[in-house]
Amino acid sequence: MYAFLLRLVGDPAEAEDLALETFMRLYQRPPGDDQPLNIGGWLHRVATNLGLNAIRSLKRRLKYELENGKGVLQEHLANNPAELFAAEEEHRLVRQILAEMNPRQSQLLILRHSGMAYREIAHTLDLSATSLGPLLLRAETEFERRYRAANPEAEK
Amino acid sequence: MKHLTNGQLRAYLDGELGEEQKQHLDECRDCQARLPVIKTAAQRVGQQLSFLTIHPEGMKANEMASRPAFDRFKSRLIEEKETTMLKKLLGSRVVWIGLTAVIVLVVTLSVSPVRSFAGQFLGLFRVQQVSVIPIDTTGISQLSGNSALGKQIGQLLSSSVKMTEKPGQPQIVATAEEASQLAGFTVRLPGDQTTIPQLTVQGRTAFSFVVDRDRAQSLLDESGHKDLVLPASLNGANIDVNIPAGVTASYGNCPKLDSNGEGLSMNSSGSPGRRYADCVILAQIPSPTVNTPPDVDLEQLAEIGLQFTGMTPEQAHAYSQNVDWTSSLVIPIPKNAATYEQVNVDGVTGTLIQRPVDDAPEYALIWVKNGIIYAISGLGSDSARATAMANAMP
Repeated sequence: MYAFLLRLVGDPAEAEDLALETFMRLYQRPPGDDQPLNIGGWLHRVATNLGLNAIRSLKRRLKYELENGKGVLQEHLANNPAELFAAEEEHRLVRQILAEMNPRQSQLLILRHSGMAYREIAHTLDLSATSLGPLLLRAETEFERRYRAANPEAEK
Repeated sequence: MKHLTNGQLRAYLDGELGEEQKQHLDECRDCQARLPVIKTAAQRVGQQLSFLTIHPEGMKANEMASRPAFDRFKSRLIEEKETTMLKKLLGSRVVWIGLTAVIVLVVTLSVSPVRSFAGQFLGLFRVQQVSVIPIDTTGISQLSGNSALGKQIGQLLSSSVKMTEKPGQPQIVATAEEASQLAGFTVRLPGDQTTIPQLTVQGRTAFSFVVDRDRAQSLLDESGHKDLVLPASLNGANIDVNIPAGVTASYGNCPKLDSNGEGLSMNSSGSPGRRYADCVILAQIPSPTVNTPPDVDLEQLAEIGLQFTGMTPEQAHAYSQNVDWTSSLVIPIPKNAATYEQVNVDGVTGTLIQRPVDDAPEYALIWVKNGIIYAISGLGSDSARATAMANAMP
């Protein structure tokens, strides 16, 4: 869960906080008895929502941008700072787009691209596995549209 | 067969297409022709989102990194449980200043039964009076919150404490008689009140813990108290704590002691001082008992505990001499944030603790009579109400 959130929000401290929060929610408000076998899916859903909220929150975003930039520079100064910084900028843009999109669509993108199989995603988001192809295509198209709008120089 | 939709083609790229459709794709030029565009787009997005992928080789580092998060989760659970249990015990916020105080209290309670009679019997602790230690919280503030030390203490407690009797859900009862019957002692309520209180009975709790001397010592070391050395005889000592059933009577509009066990919620929105200004809670509970093995030199431990809370060795020694550790409920209060005084109530001497915070003052009046601990606590600064109530007890 931590690894998943770290990739989503890009900040170790934030990811740790969110993982903690996810499990606290499980403890305080566990999912209903109607889906007792889907704890993993429930956790991923809650974690994705929390992660997207965190990215949306301006205050936190500024904080992690600052720390992230700093951390990246400190860690990799010897490598190629300009390149790394550009990569991190790119990630920041992608996270921002995910946070602004329809949450269902960004959840789908995040879960798929974090390496989940269709069956698991369907289970997590309570969708049928056969509907995932079309939904994913639509979400990716929407993502690209926003990405190009935010980044006009990107190759078409 | 119908041609495949773009969505199905997208699923094909992820290797998630059904056999029948795959076969169609193998044979259908139309469908094959539409594939490259979808594939390029999917690859582009995949590239942009590739940083989300969790790589197996990265998992080990992540497991390492996720340890702190899991530890924090555990300590937060423990923190919730511990504070809840003790908050319910007396229903007073001012007394239990968060986990820090709880830990100090648990430590003090466990080290309190200093003298074992003739060294033959188990030391048995029963509360007959209340003592207050003003503690310097600056020194131990690092224990609270999420600091590594707080975590370790949480772990130490969680790994060595065994609940032998769980308190269960608090039960709401209608009358003092019913409460008395359920709790097993005579519940007293002040006679002068115009409102009918809500009565809640909290069941018995019992737990025991085995002292891990080395771990406790390493905690002391890490907290900057290398000078304090725990005696080796402490190791493996089994300490039993019994907390009898207690009763709380809430007057006015009080925060709910809800079934989730959140106790008096300290972080709910709005100023609790204003929202619950007319709330007064009277709690009563027969003395908890603590059993310790006779060969543990607990007087020494008490002094260590006092030094830990910020006293000099001389102060700790002097204080320790003045307290009957077999019969005092020792309540740590923060030195600069609360005041206390002795007052005569209910025919005995009680202790009135006040926390004069600007927007949310609190008070708690605690006294012990006939083996029962009473506490009246409320938000606001009208502590006279507490003394009046105490004096109106039948």
